[in-house]
Amino acid sequence: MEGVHTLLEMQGITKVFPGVRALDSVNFELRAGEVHVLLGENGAGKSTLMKVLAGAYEPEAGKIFIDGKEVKIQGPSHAQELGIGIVYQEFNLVPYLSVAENVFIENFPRTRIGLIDHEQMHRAANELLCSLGMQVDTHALIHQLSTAQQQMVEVAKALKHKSRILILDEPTSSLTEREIEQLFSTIRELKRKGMGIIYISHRMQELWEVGDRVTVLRDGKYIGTRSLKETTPDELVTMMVGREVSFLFKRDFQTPGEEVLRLEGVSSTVHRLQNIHLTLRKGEIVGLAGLVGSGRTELARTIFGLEPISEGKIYLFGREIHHSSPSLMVQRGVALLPEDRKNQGLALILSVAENIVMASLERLFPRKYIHKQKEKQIVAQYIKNLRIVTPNQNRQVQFLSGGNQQKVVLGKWLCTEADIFIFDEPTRGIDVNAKAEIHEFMNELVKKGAAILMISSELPEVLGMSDRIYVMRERKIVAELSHEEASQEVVIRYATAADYASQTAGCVE
Amino acid sequence: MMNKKSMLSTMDPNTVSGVGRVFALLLICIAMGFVSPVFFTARNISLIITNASIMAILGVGLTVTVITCGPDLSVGSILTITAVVAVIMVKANFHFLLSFAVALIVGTSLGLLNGVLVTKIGLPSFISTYGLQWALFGFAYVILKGYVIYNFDADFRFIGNGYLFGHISMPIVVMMVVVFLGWFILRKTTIGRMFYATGANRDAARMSGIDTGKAILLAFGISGFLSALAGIVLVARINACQADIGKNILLPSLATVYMGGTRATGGQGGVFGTLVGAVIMTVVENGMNLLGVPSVWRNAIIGSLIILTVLANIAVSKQLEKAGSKV
Repeated sequence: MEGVHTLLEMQGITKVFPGVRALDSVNFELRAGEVHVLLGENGAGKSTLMKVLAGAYEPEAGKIFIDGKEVKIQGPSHAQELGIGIVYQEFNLVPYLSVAENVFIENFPRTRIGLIDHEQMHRAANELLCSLGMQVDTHALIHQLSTAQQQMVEVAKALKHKSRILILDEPTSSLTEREIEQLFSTIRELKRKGMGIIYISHRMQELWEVGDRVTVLRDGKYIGTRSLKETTPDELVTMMVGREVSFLFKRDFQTPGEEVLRLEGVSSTVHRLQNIHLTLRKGEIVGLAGLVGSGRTELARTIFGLEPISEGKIYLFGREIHHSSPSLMVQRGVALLPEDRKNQGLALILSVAENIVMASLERLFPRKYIHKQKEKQIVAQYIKNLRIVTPNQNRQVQFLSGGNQQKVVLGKWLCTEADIFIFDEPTRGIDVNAKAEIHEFMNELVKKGAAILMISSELPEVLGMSDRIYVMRERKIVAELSHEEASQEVVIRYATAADYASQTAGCVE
Repeated sequence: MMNKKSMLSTMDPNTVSGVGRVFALLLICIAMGFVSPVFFTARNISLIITNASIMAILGVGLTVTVITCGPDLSVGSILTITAVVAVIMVKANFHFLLSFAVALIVGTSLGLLNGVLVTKIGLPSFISTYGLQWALFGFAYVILKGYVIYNFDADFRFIGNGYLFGHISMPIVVMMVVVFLGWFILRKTTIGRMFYATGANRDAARMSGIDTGKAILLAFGISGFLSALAGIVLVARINACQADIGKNILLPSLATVYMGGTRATGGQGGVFGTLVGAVIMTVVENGMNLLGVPSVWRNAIIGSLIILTVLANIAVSKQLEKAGSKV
């Protein structure tokens, strides 16, 4: 690779968010004609680094050089002018507009009198797509295309400014095997034209197929860069994990009691879940680990009766559940604390009190009459026990801080006196203190005999809190690990499918 | 010492804006009293409230549907069709109570039909209720063919033009009962909580185990029932019924709901606001009558009033949010 032109160099990039150092003096370099993989756990800083490059974030420190010249990226459109194109994991396409319209949506070609020049637009879109080896009618509407075709439209969109740097964020996460092959051949074609490609992925096995070099980030820090020819999955996993498990909260482990929840071969067409076996017992916390998109949230929603199962059986306290629904699950003592608490966990315009009793109306007031005094007392008790900071019970929850909002959600479910709690990312986006408090509440809950299924993308949290851990990958459970066998390395191996390199104990497949 | 803002923030926001609304009504009334000597006579006051009652009865049903999932646009047509059913039955010599009962059952069923179209079929409530409105108006024309049915027995008419204890007009009595029950259900029962939760955030309500489908069904059922009740009171009062009797009643009633401070996107509001809104509307209409305002100006004045009241509501709630967010 000697004598190759360096397209991009990022030096000492630092980005601070309130309370978090998302990037801490990170270096990155991209050459013309190479695919450079950016690797790291969830939250390692990959996306933040790419957003800095795409002009979405302004870094606090650091320098960016393009073709050896220092540049200061002013914003997304400036980044495009500099030849940087990005394809995000979530597509930004308008489903009921045509392919050509989507490609040029930010800046339509105009005729002399200012109307959209449709002829020019379709011709240009067609040229772009042909150069990517894609044959599709540019008049077709986006929602008629396959996911892979939609992705190509995104790539065309990113390349329309004669870009030379293309960022692909988890491009294969929603593609089939054959579509991945097509994507890879397009990538090789772009490489041949001298383009530099930054490739973000979790999938260990595909890195060697498509990548040239790899840079590993961990906790916002630059760990190292390797040539893929000279490294192994083992080395990369070690680089990704590296740190010691420093944990905030010490769990009191105990012998679990009877089984309260059991899934036997559960599949879901809606969520593409496949043959899930899972058990949960009284007094234990079971962690559900896996990468974003591996199907953890979908599994939680399915257990809670939000979407139907297509195959298999769910047993609650030994009895099979038929015609499941959230109201049935709540009646039977199941609680779900969703990841998206603002849209799914809380009614933001209602008061703290109304939110806390929302899931227990039938239990607290079986005669349907709301006893105001009783309601006040109960709510006051949860505000006190959970240390919710609010001026009064009538406060709309939209005015509370994130940590306090999460405590209101927790209060809502404690109020139901549920026996089974499903926590989906219980501490995401909340500050360190509130986080420790929530861990403490979870510990108390299981001590009192509840059972907890916890989804978390933070490995230290999963490892520190869980009695047992299920690891999910591609909508399946691929491993069940005891507290003792689980380590960051093992979990990451299963979650990323790097296990083909070395077989570890506890494999279910 | 407590300053004004922190006191505001500890009060229930609904109470605060409610007090403001009543205050506005009083101001309008005092102004009317100055310009028209007959305004504050017992007869005139009773007339105002009686006129407001049909709007308020419909308004309570609309309040419930707006809070839960969106306005029931078919109230005027349900009112019409049930009134037609009731008058045809009494004219066919059925007992007047039986005709009332059938009208109420038909109204409730039509409301539930809206609920089914929304929850089971998945139609937007705008489409199902608006569509039903045209269908029912059509039926009313098919049945009555432009004829007017009039002149009913005293028994039948009592609910519209009678007096309880010799003084209180029956429409006012019915309205008071409806407003009280509406308040009770919304504020004091778990059913009311289901309505608020469903309207505030349907996803969160569903994920809290609330049967949101049942809440929507019930809300439309209540709205249908109250439309039928308003229809009975109306035909009994004017002693006549024709196919366009409910044609122009939806929008003024809906306006009273929004004037009353119920949130257009659901989850907040109540029936007292609607009642006050209905009374404000009628007071202004009555005032224009007394003052002899040319009829060509009346619509413009009513329209401006609606916009001004809702703007005032928004201003008050913004003030409250500010006061609250400082804590």
